[in-house]
Amino acid sequence: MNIANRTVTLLKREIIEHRKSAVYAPFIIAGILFSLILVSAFWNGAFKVNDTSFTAKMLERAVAEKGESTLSLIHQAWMFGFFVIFHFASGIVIFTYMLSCLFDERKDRSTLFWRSLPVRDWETVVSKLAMVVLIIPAIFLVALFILQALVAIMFVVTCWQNQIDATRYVWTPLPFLSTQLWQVVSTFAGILWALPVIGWILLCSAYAKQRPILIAMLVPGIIAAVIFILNISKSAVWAFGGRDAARDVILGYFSRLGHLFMPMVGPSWKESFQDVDETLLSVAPIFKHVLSVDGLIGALIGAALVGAAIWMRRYREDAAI
Amino acid sequence: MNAVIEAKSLKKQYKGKFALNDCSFTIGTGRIVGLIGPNGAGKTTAIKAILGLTAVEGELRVLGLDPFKQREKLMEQVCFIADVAILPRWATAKDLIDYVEGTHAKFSRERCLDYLSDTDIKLSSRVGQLSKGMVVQLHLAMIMAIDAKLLVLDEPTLGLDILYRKRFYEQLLGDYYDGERTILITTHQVEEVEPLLNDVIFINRGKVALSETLDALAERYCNLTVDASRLEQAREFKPISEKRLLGKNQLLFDRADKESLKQLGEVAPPSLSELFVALLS
Repeated sequence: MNIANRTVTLLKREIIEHRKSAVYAPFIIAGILFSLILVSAFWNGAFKVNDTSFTAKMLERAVAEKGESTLSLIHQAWMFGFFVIFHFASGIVIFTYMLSCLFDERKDRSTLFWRSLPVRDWETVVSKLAMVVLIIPAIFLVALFILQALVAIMFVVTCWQNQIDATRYVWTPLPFLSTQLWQVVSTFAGILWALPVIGWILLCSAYAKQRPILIAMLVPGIIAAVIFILNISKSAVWAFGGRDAARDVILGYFSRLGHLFMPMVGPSWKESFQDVDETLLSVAPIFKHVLSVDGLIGALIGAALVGAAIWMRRYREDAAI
Repeated sequence: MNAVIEAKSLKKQYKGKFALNDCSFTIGTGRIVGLIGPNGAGKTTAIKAILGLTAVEGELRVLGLDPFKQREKLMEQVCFIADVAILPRWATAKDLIDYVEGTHAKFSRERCLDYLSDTDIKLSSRVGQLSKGMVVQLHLAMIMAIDAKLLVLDEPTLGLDILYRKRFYEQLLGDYYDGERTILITTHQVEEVEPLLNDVIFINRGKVALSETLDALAERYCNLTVDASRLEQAREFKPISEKRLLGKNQLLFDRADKESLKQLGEVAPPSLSELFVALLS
């Protein structure tokens, strides 16, 4: 059996099973947002050739007030706004996917069918991991790029309609490709950063007998609460690293979980708003996070937890709940 | 006889209670075997062990492989239908056929579509929208299109009406069984599988109570139907069970002299369900 065919088959199964949330949802979100923008543009008269035009006049006004370089920031701002929305939506989709992907097959007993075929458990779990770290984010990014391209085209049309120089106000200052690159890097770096959380939730999905979200959220939550409420001081309990280390691990969990929902924004973004000369979002702070010792340890913990999820699927006695 | 399954002294405990307790049996190539027992007898545990889904103590080889350690390799040669409700409800027939084709080297799409063409199932039919009987037809069509050496059926027709049950076994025997493949069936519907079986294994409380070919059973056991006037004489042959039936007495014998019994009444081979009740109750 050809490995490429087999891999495609496993991924295809995941995509079909989760097509509504992983495939339809990003394009529906893009469609809704673009529709709202169009309605808003018409409402504000953007497509009318008169002085009340909103979007084109807005660009002209910004240049008049803050200079030519502010155009790039304006374009970055609206693209970044869409990126945040898509990042948050993909975070929800990925989170719910992870919770259900190894649980639902046991709940509906279809695991007995999947496991009746000569597919190794690690292949199945890795295909689900690939959905989380690759496929779902990639689909959301494609929908986001299409939306951003459509909105950019809308800007150009608006300029033409208002006899404003589209090259000056849109084409030249629009950092389209560099922003797309930043979005891709930021998304996948965020995913890498969240690997321990991803591994933990996959393990909860493979382990839970009911409601994996309870274990995924409550266990770290309760530990955090105990540490903070009782203010546990250094003792034998934390002999391996002290209370601070334990607290960091727990805080780290929720912090990394947060990155699934919110983009990993470096300080450069805030700075770039203050410094109008900055035209490109920097990827340096993102790599500083991911390519650190902390990032490496996180990736190793994530890999170990994914390994535990594979072990759980392979060796648990009650294959179906 | 080449053994497809060799089980020696299998043991498995759940919370201190034995599901399998010194359970030994052998299943040969090309046989259709019924693994029959009451609820909680250990049938499903035995099936899970054979499929490598649970670890057991003792020695177990399936097609020469250790099923627990070499499960993925084993699944290339073994097919399995657990019961009627294990196909994912979100999938269409085409999704499932594509998946099996992409993961099983011995699957023939043409054969599967050929089997499906005799049913009302369309490729676009979603499992969740099919009746129980149609889901089993779909599952069976996929399984029959795999060139496997061993087919394991665990209560495959549970909850189906008589028409679907009959059709299921007819298809299994007519279209799938070729004399070389081995089929292992567990079911409560003993009467329905009896005509299919070559061998039978009765399992009770985790142990094998009986393991014989059906031909040997017919030789070994017999039912005697006698009037009350000859009951005491019949009892001298030491029946293993006795019951009243329409004003007459029916006695079941193990290795009794059939010629002598014929002097007392009507002698006939017992059905599998009669043996099951007599031996396991």
